[in-house]
Amino acid sequence: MSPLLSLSHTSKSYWRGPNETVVLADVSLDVRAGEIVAIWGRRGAGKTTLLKVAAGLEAPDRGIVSFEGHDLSAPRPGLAYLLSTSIGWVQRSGPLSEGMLAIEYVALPLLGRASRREALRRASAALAQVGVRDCAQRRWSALTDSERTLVCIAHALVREPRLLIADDPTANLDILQREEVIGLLAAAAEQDGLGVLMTVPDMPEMLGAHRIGSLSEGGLILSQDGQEEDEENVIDFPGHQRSL
Amino acid sequence: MASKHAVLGLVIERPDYGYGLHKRLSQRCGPWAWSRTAVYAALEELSSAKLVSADESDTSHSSGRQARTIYSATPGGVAFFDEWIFGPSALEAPRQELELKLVMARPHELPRLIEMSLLQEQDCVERLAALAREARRAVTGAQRSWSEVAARLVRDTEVKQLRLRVEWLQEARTTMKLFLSQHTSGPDGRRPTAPHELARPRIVPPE
Repeated sequence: MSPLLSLSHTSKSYWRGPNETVVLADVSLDVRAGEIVAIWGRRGAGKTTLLKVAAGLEAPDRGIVSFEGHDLSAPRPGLAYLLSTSIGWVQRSGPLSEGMLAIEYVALPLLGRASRREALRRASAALAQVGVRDCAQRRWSALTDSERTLVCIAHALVREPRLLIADDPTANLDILQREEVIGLLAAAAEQDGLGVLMTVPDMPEMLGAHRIGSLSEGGLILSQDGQEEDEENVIDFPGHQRSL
Repeated sequence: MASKHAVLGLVIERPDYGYGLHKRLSQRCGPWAWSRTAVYAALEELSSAKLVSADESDTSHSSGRQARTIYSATPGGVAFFDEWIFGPSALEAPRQELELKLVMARPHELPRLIEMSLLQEQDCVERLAALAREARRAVTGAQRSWSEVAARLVRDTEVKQLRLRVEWLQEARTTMKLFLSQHTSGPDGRRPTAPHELARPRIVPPE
């Protein structure tokens, strides 16, 4: 099965004055539909940069990033639309206004694309999907850490992306809440064929993933493709191969 | 930690024959279960000490199969097991071959040790992936039996050990590269080579 997302020999450096910091060095990575790939690394290892490059938010210095076969580093008509509708980015920062209702925040990505009624209906469904429908009418300031995390996942899922990218979605959660979030992503991957690329702050959170990787000094050490039993669990979703 | 305690514990749970005990031990203890030979050796030792009794199965005659030896715990075996499970647990010092090689290595051998640390990190990641596969198959929620909960705890301790190992491997690699950069002249012969300029060894995936 061809991958949803593919990073091929990507490298990325930052310059601070005369000093070059190599963040990604010849990193290759695939994420398929229905598959969760979890990346662990110490603070400052380059996890967030890897996710930004994967989401097309930052261009690599070298290498190719492609989504469903489309090169993300080559601007073309429709590319921005594809990225905005097909890749969901889980932002843990939440809305700018602490007083915003959870359902309004989740509906935000649909504004201008759907009627207000339709946006709120889909936001309500996304909140239900992550198990926090009862938070819909509560303000952001009144939500607990785990509720905020789940609302942020709903915010990323509301446009029904084919790939979800999440930066430490389980940070600041206790072990039971972490299990809940990982279980939720695993269910979305297995039932809806969602591809998930996420970073994790600790290794136990990797246990819900199909493939795992360790990032350090710009190098990614990734587990081999799953064995036959994993192949059975990764579902082929032919409808996911859309063209621009 | 001896296999006889684990084997005796399973026999106390229910009488079984050697093959069945090895299968149950593998399911219960995962990666650190003992080999079948070790299980039979433990059964012999337990039998000699009269901690288990061995009886020929009588169901084999109807099926025509060879009679199997079924092991049951004796009262002495139960008391011996209780004494072990309530006794203190020794903290065993981990001893890894790579550490010994670091201690024994000469500076010019460090590039090869850097490569070895990468290979060992790959092994850790593969092991974590195997644990992830186990975890996805595992029963979750309140319906878990104690043995399933215990399996989860054993998996967690292995994950934490692997995390520490990976962290240490990364730190060791950085330290070795830093040492090399401070003791190696760069290509222009004037400045030392920066750590990121050192050739990164490539990992060749197993066939």
